[in-house]
Amino acid sequence: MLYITAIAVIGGLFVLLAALLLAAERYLVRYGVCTVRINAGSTVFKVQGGGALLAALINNKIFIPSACGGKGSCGYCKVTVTVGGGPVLPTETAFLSRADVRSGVRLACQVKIKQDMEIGIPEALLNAKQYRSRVASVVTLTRDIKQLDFDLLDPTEIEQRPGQYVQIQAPSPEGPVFRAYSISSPSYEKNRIQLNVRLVPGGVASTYLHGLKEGDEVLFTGPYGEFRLSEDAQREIVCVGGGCGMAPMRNIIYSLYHQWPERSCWLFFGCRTTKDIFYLDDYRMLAKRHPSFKIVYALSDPLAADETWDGETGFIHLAVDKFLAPGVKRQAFLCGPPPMIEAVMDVLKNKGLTDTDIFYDKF
Amino acid sequence: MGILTIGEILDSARNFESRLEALYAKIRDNSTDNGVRLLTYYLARHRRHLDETLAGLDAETLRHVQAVEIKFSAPFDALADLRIPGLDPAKVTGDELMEAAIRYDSELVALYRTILSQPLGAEARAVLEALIRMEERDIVMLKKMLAMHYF
Amino acid sequence: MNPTPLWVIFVGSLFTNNILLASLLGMCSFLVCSSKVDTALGLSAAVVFVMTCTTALNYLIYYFVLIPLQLEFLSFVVFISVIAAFVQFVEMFVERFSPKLYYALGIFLPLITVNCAILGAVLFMVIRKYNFVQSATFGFSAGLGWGLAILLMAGLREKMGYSNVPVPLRGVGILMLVTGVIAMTFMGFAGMLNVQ
Repeated sequence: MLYITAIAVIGGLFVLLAALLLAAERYLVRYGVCTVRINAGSTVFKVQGGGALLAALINNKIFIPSACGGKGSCGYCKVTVTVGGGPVLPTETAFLSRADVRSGVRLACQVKIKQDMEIGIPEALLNAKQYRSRVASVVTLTRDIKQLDFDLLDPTEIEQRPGQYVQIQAPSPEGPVFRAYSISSPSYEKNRIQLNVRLVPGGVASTYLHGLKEGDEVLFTGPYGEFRLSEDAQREIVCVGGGCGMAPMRNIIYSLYHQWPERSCWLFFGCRTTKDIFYLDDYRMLAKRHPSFKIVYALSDPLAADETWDGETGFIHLAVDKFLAPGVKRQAFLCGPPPMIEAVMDVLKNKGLTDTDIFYDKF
Repeated sequence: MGILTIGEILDSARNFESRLEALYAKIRDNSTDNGVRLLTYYLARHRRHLDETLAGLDAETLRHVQAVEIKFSAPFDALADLRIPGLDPAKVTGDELMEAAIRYDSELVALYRTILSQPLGAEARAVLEALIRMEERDIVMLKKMLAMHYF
Repeated sequence: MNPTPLWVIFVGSLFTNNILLASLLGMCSFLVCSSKVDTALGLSAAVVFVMTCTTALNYLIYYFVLIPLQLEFLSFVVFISVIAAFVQFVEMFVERFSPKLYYALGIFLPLITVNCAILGAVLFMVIRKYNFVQSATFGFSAGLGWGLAILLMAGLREKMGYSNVPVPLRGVGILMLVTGVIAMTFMGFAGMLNVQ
């Protein structure tokens, strides 16, 4: 009898405490409906509090970039929170500089909506949309690079600038992940986008994209990216790519000659062997029509015995140094592995370019 | 049973990084491969990541976290666990160098994960997770660089 | 029945029988969370709240449920689960209204559950045979006493930041010494009142 009462008392007590906690949770943890105002009221939406800001933004069709799916490991989803963000969390500090923290920059995936908020998002990001597309063609460029063309299904048109990128949604065991790929098709082609994808062993998105066949449907968001091609027709454009950093250059070059047929432009591309070369014939055809387009490919590995090569050898920053005369007004776009970018930056600065003239994308 | 503070472990990680920096400097002096030399400049800068990650924290939090004590099944020597495998400075190739750098990063990740498996405060946990993410980002970057086939 | 008047219980648990400095209960969070006055203040507020509520609630459960049903042997389990539930409640409350304090307290907020001072206060209440009003007063003032001690310590530690502590004593060593000195000064109050 004693034991039964003991069990009853303990059981009753636990049920009572649990009920108390549930009631408390109802009034304390649920935050009710909160209002989020973006860019001083240009967009306003209401959302049930308690969730992450990033999820709320995406649900309201504001596609700010995020590569990690809200785990706080990519640092792409930066927004400025002016009101209602709470203290900066330790999970964010790795991605925020002191200046960022002072001006209220936060990671949208880490900030929880607990009250009415005022946030700032760059206008360009508000233009990003989600696209449904179908694979139109797959071309193998080198042993591990494929060129993929996508027809846009919904919406059917994209407004992109050369140098911008999209975020491809790829399935993974832990839910969808997003990876950034530069658009390689020129910006005047509004009904399709083209990507160059290099297979990274173990990479979720590149494995997914390499496995696609014609007719497969793919979701992506975009376009993103701050790069703006200089509108000054006298300004020479310098593109330097290494490894697989070709896609944004291709977009820049074709868009450039579509608008300014006479404009001067250099393309430098560095790779190791003749097997890594791609698009060279396309560019030579373009150079025939536009003599102001100059192409330099450089190989850094020694040639095999049976190969011939009439281009440059050595690393690409040496070729840049050799061909560019100092003191010309230029804008440069670099894309490739970080050490290459650093080396090329040094060379370009010696040629008289400043930080504002050089734009880079560490793939 | 050894007891160490997180501050001491971070110091030993920092010490490991500066030994790596010395190794990269040695490779730069001895290698004839320009790609390898270019790469060592980049890799040697890895040491700054740790300080940059910690620099974002306010001083009070940092002191708090550094004072957190953790137990290691005895006898633990954080330094011994972070050995630098020998690379021949004169003959190493770019790919080998990047693979080695990935290994070093993974060693640090493994060390941080051992600490994470212990009961810690939420603050210390967040700091360690930030460090792990930083190293993992570096690993991804290096793997991409390997796949790019540039060096 | 315990005949001690309420004001004696109040003053007694603040000074002569301070739960931290006389009984040395609740040392763990006392040592860790006393590095800053703000944090210490927040933690003491949480402790005062949890202590008052749990002593009162545990009094009711002990005298109106456990004793009539002869279930005194369950008292420890019951006491600690009531404490645990209250701490959960406080945690939600603090996270909602002061996220900054929530992150400053970190693990020590949920750890109030196993803070021995809280269980200690409940057990003292049983041992000393307080009635309901006495119990609530005791819980409240014991919490205040704990808060007083940790605030003193936090103030001293903020001052200590500017002093030259001998290297071997830095960290926990000097904290233990300082705690000892504070405890000894509080023993000076011992002749004033005798709380039982």
